[in-house]
Amino acid sequence: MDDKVVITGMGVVSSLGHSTSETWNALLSGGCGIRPIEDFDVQGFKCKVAAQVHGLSPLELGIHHRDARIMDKHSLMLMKCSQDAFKNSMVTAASIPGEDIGFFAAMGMVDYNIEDLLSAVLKSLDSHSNLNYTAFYSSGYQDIYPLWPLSMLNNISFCQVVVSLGIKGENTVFSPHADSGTQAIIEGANTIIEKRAQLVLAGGVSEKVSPLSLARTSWAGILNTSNPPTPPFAKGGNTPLTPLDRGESPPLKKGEKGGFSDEMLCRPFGKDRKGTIIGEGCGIVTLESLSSAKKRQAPYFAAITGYACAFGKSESCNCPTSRALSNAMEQALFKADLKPSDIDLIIAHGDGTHMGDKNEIEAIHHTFSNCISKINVFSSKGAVGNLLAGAPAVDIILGICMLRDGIIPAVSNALPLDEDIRFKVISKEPLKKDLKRILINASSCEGQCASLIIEAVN
Amino acid sequence: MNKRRVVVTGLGMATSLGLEVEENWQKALAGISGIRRLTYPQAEKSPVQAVGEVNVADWNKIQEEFPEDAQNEGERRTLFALWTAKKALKDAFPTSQLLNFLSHSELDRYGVILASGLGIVRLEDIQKWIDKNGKFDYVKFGREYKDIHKESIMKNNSNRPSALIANRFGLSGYNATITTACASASQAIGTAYRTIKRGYANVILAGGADSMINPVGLVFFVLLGAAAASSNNPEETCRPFDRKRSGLVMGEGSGVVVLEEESHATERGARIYAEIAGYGTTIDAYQITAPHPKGEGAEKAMRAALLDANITPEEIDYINSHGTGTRLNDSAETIAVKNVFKEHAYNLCINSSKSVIGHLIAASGGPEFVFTVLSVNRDEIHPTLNLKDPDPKCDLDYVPNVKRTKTVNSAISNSFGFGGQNASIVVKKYNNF
Repeated sequence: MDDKVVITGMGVVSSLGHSTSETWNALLSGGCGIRPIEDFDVQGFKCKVAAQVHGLSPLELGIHHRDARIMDKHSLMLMKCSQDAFKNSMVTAASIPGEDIGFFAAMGMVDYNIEDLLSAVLKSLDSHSNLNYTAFYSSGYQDIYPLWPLSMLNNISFCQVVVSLGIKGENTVFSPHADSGTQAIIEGANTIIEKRAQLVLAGGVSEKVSPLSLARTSWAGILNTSNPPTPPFAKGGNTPLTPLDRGESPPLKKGEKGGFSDEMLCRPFGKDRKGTIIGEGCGIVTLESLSSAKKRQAPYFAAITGYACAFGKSESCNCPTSRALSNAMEQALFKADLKPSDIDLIIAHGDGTHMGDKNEIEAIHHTFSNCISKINVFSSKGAVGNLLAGAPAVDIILGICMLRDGIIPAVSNALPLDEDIRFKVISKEPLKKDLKRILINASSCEGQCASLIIEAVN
Repeated sequence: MNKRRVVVTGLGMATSLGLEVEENWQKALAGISGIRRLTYPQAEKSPVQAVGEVNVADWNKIQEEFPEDAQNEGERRTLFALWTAKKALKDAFPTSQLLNFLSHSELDRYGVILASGLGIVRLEDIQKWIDKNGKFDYVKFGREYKDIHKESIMKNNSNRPSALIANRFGLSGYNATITTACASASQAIGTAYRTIKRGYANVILAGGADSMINPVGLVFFVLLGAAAASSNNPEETCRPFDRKRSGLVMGEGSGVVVLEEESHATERGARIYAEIAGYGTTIDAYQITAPHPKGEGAEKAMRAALLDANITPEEIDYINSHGTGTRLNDSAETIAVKNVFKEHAYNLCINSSKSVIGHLIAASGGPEFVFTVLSVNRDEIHPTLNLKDPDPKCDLDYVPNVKRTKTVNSAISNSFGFGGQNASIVVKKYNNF
C-alpha cells in the first residue's frame, strides 16, 4: 500500500518572526516585514528596502565562536530552522540513527562580505590604486582569513548543520532559486518513499541581503528599482534612524507604512507592481512516512502528494514561460491523481514582477480554466519578500497553518489588482475557508519552475 | 520495485587534454598529463603554478563555436558546459538536427542536471569602489553596480549553465543545479539517474563544468592548506597515493553525459555505452575541514551504491577514486575501500583521474564518470600518474603509471566533497536482460 509522505516538523525564520507561530500570526494580522536596509549605506541603490531577519545569535544556536566566523546570516538561519524542525518533530539524535536521516536543502548564491577581502585588496594596490597582481599573489592574499574560502561554499553551512544534528544519510544541495527549494523537498519525499531514510530534513534558505544581492537582483531585472516620487523614508535621508526604523521593532502592523512609499513595496498580482523585494528567511520541514510518524507517535501536519519541475525561458524577460508554469502545475496534479478543481488554494510564486506575475496569471488561467472563478490565490512575497531558495519551504509551512486554521491571509499590498486576473486573489482581508489541498508554485528568473501539492491529513 | 533502468548514451568532455572524448581517453591511457605551467595572465607570482588549464587554441575553438555566448557570458565554465552538452547530445542523437525533430511534449521529458561551483570573486569589484580613505564606497557602488564585469559573481547565477543549455537545445523538463563542492557532479549524475528511474524524465543531460583558474580561485586552496606544494616539473605535482603527495592540483573543464531510460534508448536504436546500476550518498558529520580519518562516510556511500545496484562487492572490478592527492583523502579513501571490499580490495584496479587532468572541483565527477563509463565499455583503465613511491598506508593496486587492460564488468566512481559529502555511482556493462 502506498505509504504517504507526511510533514512532521517545521522550522521557520522570516522578517515576521523567528518561529512558525510568530511568522504566521504576524502574516494573519496583515504584518509586512519590508523595512529600510540598515546593514550598509544603501543610499546609492535604487532599491533601499528588504524584508530582513534580525537578531539571530550564534551562541543561542550552540555554535562555537570559531565556527561562527565563517557562518554568515544564511548559515545561522539554516541552522536555526533545522534545529527547530528536528525538535518540532520530536526527534532526538538517539531515537533515529544518523545513517537513517537524510538532508536536502536549497541554498542561494554565496556572496563575499566586502570587508573580508578589503584589506587584501588594499595591500595589492599600486600607487595609482590599480590592482597589482604580483603584490596580491606575493603577500596580499595572505590578509584573507585562511578559512574564508569555506564561507564561500554553501555546502559548508549545510555540513555545519549535519555535524550539529548528527545527520549521516542521503543528501544534496540544490541552488540557487525558488525552484531549487521545491526540488530539495521532492528529493526528500522520494528518499522517504524509496525507504532510503526514515526521516528527512528538507527545505531552503534565502541569501543574505547585501550590496551584492541587491546588485544581482537589479541586474537580473526582477528587483523593484522604481524611483519613488517621495523620499523613501518619512524622516528624510539625513535624519538619523531610530531603533524602530532599523527593524529592531516588531514587523509593521496592517496599515503601517513605516515611512516609505507604496512604490517601493512588493505588490504580487497588483496592477501597479514594479518588481520584487528581496527577503531573508528559511524554512525546513521534516519528512517521513505516515506509518513511521504513527509508530513514533509524532504529530503530522500534512501530506505531500504531487510535484513536478519544468523549464521554459521567456524570450523577452527573466522568468519562466506560462507554458512551463502550466506544465509543472499539470504534471504535479497528474502525479497526485487530482483534477484542477480539487485544489482549494494556490500559493503562487507571485513575486511582484511585471512579467513573472503575468506569465503565472496566464498559466493559472490555462490550467484551471474549468474552475477559474473558484480558485483562490495567495502570495507571501508582499509580506516576507522574495526568499528565492527559501520561499517554497516557507510557503509550505504557511500552507500547513492555513490547512490547520482554515483561513487564508490577505496578500500584502496587492491592491489594486491586475485587471486581467480571473481567479480570486485574497487581498482585502483574510478568508475563512476549509482547505484540503494547496498547490505551491516556485520559479527562477533563469526559466526553471516547480510545483508541489500538500494535502490535509486526518 | 522500480523496473526502469538507466543507460548512458552520450558523452562529452572538455579538459586540459582536449575537447573530444576520444582525445581525452587516448591521452589518459597513454599517460599524457594535462597538468602544465599556469598561463593565466599576470599570475607569474601565483603560489599555484601547476594547473590543468584548457589550452588557448581549444578555448578559442569553443568561443568560435558559440560566438554569441562568448560575447555575452561571463564565465569560462558556462562555455565549457555548452560545448560538452552539444558534444554529448550529438553523440547520443547523431542527426544533423540534434533534438529539433522532437515534439514539445516529448522534450518535456528531457532535462538537465548540472553541478555548479563557486562564482568568480573579482578583486576589481572591490578595488573599483575603494575611496581615498581606503574604505569601500557603498553609495558609489550602489549607483554604478551596472558597471560590474560580466565575469562577476553578481552576474552569473549558478543555474545559468543548466538554463542556457536547456534553452539552446530545447530541453523543457526537469532542470536542476547541484552545489556540493567536489561532490557536485557525481551528485548531479546520481540525482539524474534517480529522476529518470522514478519516471519524471526519459533523458537527462547530467554532469558539471567548473573553472577556478582566476586570482581568488588560485589562492583558494592555498589558504585552506589543501593545494599541492609547487614543483619544478608541473606535471609531477599531483601524486595521488604516493608517499610524496602534498595536495590537490586544480583543473578546469567539463564532463557531461546523456542518461536515458533503457527502453527509450533501445526503441530509437541508440548506442548504449553502459548502465548506471546504483547510486549512494552519505555525509560524514565529522568535521567541516577534514574527511573522516577512516573514511566512514565514504565507506557507507560505496555500500549504499552497491546495495542500490543489488550487486556484491566482489562483482566490482574497478574504482575511479576521488584520489585528490591530499594526505588525508587518499589514506581515508583506501581504508574505506578495504572496509567495503575486504580481501577483494587487493583484486580491484583503482585509479585517480585527477593525476591526469587535475581536480575540476565542482565538475570533477563529470569527466571522471566519463572515464569510468569508457573503462566499463572498453575494458581498459587509464593509469594513475606520478605514483612512484607508494605510501605504505596506500597498498592497493592503483594502476601506477601504465594503463591496464582488464575486463571491467562493473565499476564505481567516487566523489567526496569538502565538508564531508560523499557520492558513489555504480556503472556496469549493459546487457539487455
